[in-house]
Amino acid sequence: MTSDRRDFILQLAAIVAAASREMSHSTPLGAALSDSQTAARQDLASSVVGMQVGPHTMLDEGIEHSLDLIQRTAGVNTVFVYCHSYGGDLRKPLDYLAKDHGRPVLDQRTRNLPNVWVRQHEQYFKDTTLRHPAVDATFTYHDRDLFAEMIKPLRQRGMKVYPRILEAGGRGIVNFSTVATINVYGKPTGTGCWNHPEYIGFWRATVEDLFRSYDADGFQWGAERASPLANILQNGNDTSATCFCQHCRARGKAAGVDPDRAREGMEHVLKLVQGLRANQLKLADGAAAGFLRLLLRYPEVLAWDYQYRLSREAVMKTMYDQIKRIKPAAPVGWHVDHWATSMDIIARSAMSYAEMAPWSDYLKVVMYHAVTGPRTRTWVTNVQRSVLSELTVEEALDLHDDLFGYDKTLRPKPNAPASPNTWPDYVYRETKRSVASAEGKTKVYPGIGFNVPGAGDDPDTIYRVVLKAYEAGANGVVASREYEEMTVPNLEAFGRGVREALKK
Amino acid sequence: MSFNGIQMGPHTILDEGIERTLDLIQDAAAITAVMPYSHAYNNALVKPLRDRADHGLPLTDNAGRKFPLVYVRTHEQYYTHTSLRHQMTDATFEHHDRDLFAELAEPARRRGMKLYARVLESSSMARVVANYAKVVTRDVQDRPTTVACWNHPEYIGFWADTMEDLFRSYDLDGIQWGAERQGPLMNVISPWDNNPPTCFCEHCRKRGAAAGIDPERARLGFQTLHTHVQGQIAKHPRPADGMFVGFLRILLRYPEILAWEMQYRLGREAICDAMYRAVKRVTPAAEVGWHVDHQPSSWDLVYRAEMSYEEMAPHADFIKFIGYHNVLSPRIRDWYLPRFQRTILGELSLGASLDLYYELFGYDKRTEPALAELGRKGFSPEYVFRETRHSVASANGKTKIYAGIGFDVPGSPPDDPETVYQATIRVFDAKADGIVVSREYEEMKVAHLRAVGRAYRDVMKSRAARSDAILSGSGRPAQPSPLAMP
Repeated sequence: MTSDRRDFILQLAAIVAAASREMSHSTPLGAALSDSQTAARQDLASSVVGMQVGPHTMLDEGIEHSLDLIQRTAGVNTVFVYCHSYGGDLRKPLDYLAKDHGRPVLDQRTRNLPNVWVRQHEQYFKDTTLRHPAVDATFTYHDRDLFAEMIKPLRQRGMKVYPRILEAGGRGIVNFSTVATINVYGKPTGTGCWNHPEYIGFWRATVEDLFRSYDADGFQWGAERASPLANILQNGNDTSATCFCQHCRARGKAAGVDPDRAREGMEHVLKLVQGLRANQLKLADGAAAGFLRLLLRYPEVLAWDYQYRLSREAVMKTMYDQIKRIKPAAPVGWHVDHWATSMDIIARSAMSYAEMAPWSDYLKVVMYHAVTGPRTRTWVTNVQRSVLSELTVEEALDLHDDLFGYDKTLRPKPNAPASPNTWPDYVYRETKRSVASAEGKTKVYPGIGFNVPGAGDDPDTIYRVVLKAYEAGANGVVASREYEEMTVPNLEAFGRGVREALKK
Repeated sequence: MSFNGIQMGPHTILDEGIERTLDLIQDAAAITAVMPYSHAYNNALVKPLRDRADHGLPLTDNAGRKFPLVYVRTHEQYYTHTSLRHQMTDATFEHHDRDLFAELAEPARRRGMKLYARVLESSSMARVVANYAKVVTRDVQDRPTTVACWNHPEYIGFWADTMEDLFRSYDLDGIQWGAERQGPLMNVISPWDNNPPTCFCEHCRKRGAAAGIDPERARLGFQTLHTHVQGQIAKHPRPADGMFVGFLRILLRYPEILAWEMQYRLGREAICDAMYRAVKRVTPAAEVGWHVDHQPSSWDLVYRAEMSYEEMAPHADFIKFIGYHNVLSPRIRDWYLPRFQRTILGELSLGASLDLYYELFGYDKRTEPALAELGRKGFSPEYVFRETRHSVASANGKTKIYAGIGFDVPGSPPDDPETVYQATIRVFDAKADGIVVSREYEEMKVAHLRAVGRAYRDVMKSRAARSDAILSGSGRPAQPSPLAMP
């Protein structure tokens, strides 16, 4: 145990003890902390200070070395390590990687890294023909079992591990084509269908295998996918509107939605978006009215989109229930990606965080402050190119910021450097919104992003962003995006923010 | 010659005298068609003295006068599809012994003017139309209202029979019918009152079910939305995820709201279609058209989204849309911005909401009033141009577009002849098929009538000169013209 880590734990213990003392001296007038406030503080002191870590990085840097660095600099008590990195991009160029972790840096593009970092046990995969890709001797670290190896070093340091999964397409999954979504033209895509029993079974089996085979403390799963309607507005390609497979059709029908009308409506919306983007459509009544016209005539589009969300949540609930059967105390939570937290109004409208609570012990909500500006600009511009084409991009961004509750006066200007002073405000507002949306029914862990490629960071801003997240009521924080990208000064700034927030 | 109609109160024509009135409007405004109310069920004939114009005759104070709402004779034999009957006009009413449309036909024709009847439907009918209670809408709690249901067979029959009566009994050139109502969705999110949404009567439920909509889900959706919006109006806490998101969330969960709204519109268009066919059976050459009031023409995105004017064309020889430039300014200030801010757009400042409105409707925010100017400065002739251009494009040549040029509308910033002139010119720049001078003749100052007339005559003169030039080969049209074709 390092002295820094001991100091940190002692600090936390002191906070808890102080809170207890205050509670015992509280007056009827409530001058001291209320019970609930004290409980919240105790809860906070023991809550997750997490970090997303690439499994290969841990092995590259050495488990002991990386854990020490993470704990000493950033005050992290929980590592979120990919067990399945389908949607995570491990193959990063040297430019993206931090060079100051005290170990040589490797160009990840030159390596054959697997997407699966746990052993697979056939006996758990009874309800599905899908299998994770086998990791043979051609892969780097094929002979290592990271989630077994890191348990002891973690425990020695009082740290926890949450295996982490990012779902995405086939990526070598055996029999994946069986579960592919079907687009409006009846063609299969490269994405798995939430309603396919084999895909549901695959994820249920995966978490059973994980929790029966490893001593995992918790779990985080994510799928960076937009709903069909949001996907059409963003991408406008032929595969963007899914899914109309037999299982989705059956689900729709059971919910009273006519699948043929939904498919027809989605196709109309897709063609509208494609036509507007290509400047081939000029609508006499306007683009927004044209879009609304389709929704009025095909309200099944909204119904189908909502069913998409419900089925996605159902897959998550399946995993939640399965984990709880094996290890009831393990917190199970979800990665809510940046689009869903801060850009996609359809995702935000479909469901509050409180409504996700029955199958969510926590939500890790992405708020990568430094890349929010450019990402939002891209997102909003995509919508502006079609159904909001009466507005300029700046007007569309104003509308977006207003509707999302962000301060539009702080928005970075195009082709101008963003002012870091603006970022803590975004993190504060989005955290506050998330906490309010959760209604105390599930925990909210903002994903504090730094050193995300394409963004400039500075330690002071990261420190202030962390403070703002706690000030807005966060139940914990997760340093993001990837440890391998994070420079030490920024790790230290994150840690400084956490320690100070927990001291308050 | 392009159409140049004028909306007139029937009592005003009788008060001022038929011959005198026709002379004045023809001389001043070059009017080619008179459009008095045959049925003034909007119940707005009695206007205060301050709102009425000096037409060279002493103004009578109408406050104590008892005007009928119906200015035609009703003939029982035509009312075979309904038990509803129009207001009975007995000797206690002013002008009860006059038959305006019979008296007006000859003097109008003598001047080369056409005669159009004009109808405005409204809930005021509840007080004067016999058996009206049978056809009223029912709200989400199944309570009857004072508004009639488009899908009630007796209400459809009532208006179809009225058309037959009108065109069999009078020598009319056309009709303009209107109902200043919005759909149930706008009634909730841009409400005129706090009443629950409609209609969930047996006929609407039947229509919805036939269209594949679960009426109960639609009712529940509207009830949920209404409760939510009323809560927002009452300053209940905003949804954590935002006010607009709260609205969108309800639509995602109850898309039947949109489906029901669309059926409302189709029901409304169906009654128009029934009237259209009734007129055409009697007088095929008569022009049948619809009054599209100010909200649907200029600030109701739901109405605009539901249907293009082209899609209304099978039952519309013309569409008279309201393009009252001046009074739009206080209407947007008082009726559009604050209502939406209280219901679904609470995250937007009024200035941001106004900007969004201008963009979505295609108006030029650099030309039209800024937030602080609303109510004091009217919209410009450019608005009239843009809205006419939109309407013409939406009609796509399938129905005629008559722009309602409005001036001296009470509550407007002051009008001036030059702006009225420019607004009229801009209508024709935007390729309208005609104009309807609005809102009411009795409100219109002679100087403004003359401004319309000057503009109309200038446009006609310029067109004639262009035609002459093309025919004589001395001029080249900017665009190929049908006149130049072999």
